Amino acid sequence: MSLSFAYLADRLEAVPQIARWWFDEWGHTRPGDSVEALTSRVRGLLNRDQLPIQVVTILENRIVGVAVLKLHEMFDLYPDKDFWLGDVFVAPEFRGQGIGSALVMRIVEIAKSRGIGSLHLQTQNLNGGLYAKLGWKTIEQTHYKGYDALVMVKQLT
Amino acid sequence: MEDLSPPSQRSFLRRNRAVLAVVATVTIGLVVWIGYCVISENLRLQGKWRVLRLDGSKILQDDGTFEMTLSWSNSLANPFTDPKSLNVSRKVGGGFGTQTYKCIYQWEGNRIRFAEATPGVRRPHSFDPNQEVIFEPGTGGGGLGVGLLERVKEEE
Repeated sequence: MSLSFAYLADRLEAVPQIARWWFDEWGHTRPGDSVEALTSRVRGLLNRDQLPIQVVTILENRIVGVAVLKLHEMFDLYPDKDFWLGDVFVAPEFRGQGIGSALVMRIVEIAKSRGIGSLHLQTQNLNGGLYAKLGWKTIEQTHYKGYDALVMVKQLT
Repeated sequence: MEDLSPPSQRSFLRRNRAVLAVVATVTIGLVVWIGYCVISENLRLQGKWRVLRLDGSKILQDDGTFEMTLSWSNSLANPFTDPKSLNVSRKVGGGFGTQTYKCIYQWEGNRIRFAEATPGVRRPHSFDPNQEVIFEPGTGGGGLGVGLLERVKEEE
């Protein structure tokens, strides 16, 4: 299996698909939002050198997953924690093949290359799932905006 | 010196000298008052603040509580908006330079209630923690922070 990575900013044709993935997965958390509106917002936020940085993974010329390096999540609770890994999504038919892990490691590589000291994430998988396997440590379990989440950190330096 | 302006203009200036003086005085007074309000509000905000969560709890870090310092070099408040608005610049590391956080705030005694947006997101319009300013596709709610600021006393 030969995976490659690209910035979403360089694969504009994938934006509608990725917005659809994100909307189907998390759109219910924002009543009134639409996939069209989300697509438009994503188009306006594509970056390579500024945050958020969206990375897609490609398998046999097909985009099969996405993850984002971003400033702040759960901003109310953790205003002091700047850098987060978020919006990790792998197309359902490609799960269980290590693509999610590869994406996470790619974001970690980018963060390390920028000299970022620690990276955070939140997951609704309360045992840490693949993140725990990849060495992420639990900070705490919390309840945030209607759901339980595990907040984790990866020390990079 | 001979006045070379046309007679009609000379006449207008002569007739309206008092009105012009009043307009000029009011304009200068207004500018001075606006400047005074902006400067005094910014001076009031300057100093070291402890950032608290909305429930008043402290944000603990390895080396103490999470604090921030407001100064002329990193913040600028506008007391004429409703609610009052504040831009705070902060170097975030990672080679991403200095980012600007757009905030609104209100004084509550010696504390400040604030709502701030992640860089790239429009300024919050209220202090409701569930308002829709977020842009993230995920569940993060990353675009909005609502909390309190409590002044750090000198001896702390």
